Amino acid sequence: MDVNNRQLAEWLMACTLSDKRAFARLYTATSPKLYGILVALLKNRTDADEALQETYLNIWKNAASYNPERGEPMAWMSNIARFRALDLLRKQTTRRRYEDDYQQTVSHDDRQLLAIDEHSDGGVLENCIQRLQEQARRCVIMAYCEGYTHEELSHKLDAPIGTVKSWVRRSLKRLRECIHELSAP
Amino acid sequence: MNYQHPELQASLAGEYVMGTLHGRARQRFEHLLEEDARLREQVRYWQQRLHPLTDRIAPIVPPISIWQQIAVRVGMGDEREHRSWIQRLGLNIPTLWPAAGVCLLVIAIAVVMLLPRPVAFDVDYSASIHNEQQQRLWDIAVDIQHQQLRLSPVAITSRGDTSVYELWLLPGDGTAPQSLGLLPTNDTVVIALSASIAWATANGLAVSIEPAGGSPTGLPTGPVVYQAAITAVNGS
Repeated sequence: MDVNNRQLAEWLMACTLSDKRAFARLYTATSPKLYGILVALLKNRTDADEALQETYLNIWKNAASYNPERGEPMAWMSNIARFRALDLLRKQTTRRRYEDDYQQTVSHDDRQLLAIDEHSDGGVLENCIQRLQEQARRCVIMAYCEGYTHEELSHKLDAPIGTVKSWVRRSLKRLRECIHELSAP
Repeated sequence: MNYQHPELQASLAGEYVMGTLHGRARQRFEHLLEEDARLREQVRYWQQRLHPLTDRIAPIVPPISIWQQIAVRVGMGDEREHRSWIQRLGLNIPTLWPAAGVCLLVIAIAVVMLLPRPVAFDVDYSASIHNEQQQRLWDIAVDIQHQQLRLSPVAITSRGDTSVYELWLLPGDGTAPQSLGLLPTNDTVVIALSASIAWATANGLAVSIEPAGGSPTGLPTGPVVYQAAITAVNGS
């Protein structure tokens, strides 16, 4: 765990003791990242504002369930934010997120990611993502980072829904195999 | 569908984390998650592995109003100055620390002196506190019948200044932590316990660094350095 993650883990531990100053510091350090994730997924600032509030209340109440042995604090917090946004998205009956004047915040440009350490978790994943076919790669990024459903991906990529489902399923299988291969000592 | 099939589990867990599993399929999966530890492990795998994709998302600083609303909802009030309740009362913490420290020390000594020597110690709950290198620092044991807490240093040295390690119980209902006393760095100490401590439902233990004599406020004031789970012994 690097210094930054160790500091975040310490603040999370302090939250379990109702240390509100630590919580304030944790918010200051991590909220731009989580808010970026929520805006990318929800594409609507009003929903993202509400989801960010709920995310941090969840973090405050459940900090004790964070286990450093099972991953980095930022991954744990990002997943809380993502699931909050996904719950909101799946409950929406209208396509509110397309009505907002949303600006693209997700990079589909792979060149800027070349600086990542290839042995880090991020480096391994990016390496494996590059090995996917272009359409399958776009599906994974758009689904994970922007919350697109199979139907929405089918519409966006102008491909039959069965094909999209197959891209997603096969991509996950290949990613798993590739991660296993590249992470092996 | 055979949900026990490893390949299907891996695929469903991946789709769940990606967000492409929705509607009834998502609900069904979440129901299965509650019962299946292997499935939960698959979900954790994908959560950890796909997380670096968030590096593709540009961070955005949220409006200040969001923090203000969160602060109110966690009971912080106006936290712009990060003032504690004691400061808001106009009391000066630095001048209170020595007095509070002396009081706590006197109480701690009195408790230890007045406690009759236990003839037996039946361990109902135990915990070990480790550092990041997984080195065991203290062993903690709880005897419910005799209302005793045993604190045994294993591989810990004093801090080299006047600060001390304080042990806290994290209540299961999410309320404020309860101080269990100062952790010894030389010899094992047995102290009397309050009967009102809900060990069975507790979320665990934590250790913070406090000024001499312990926390002056009744809540942790220094950094939390260690955490440990509590284990029930013999099905307590």
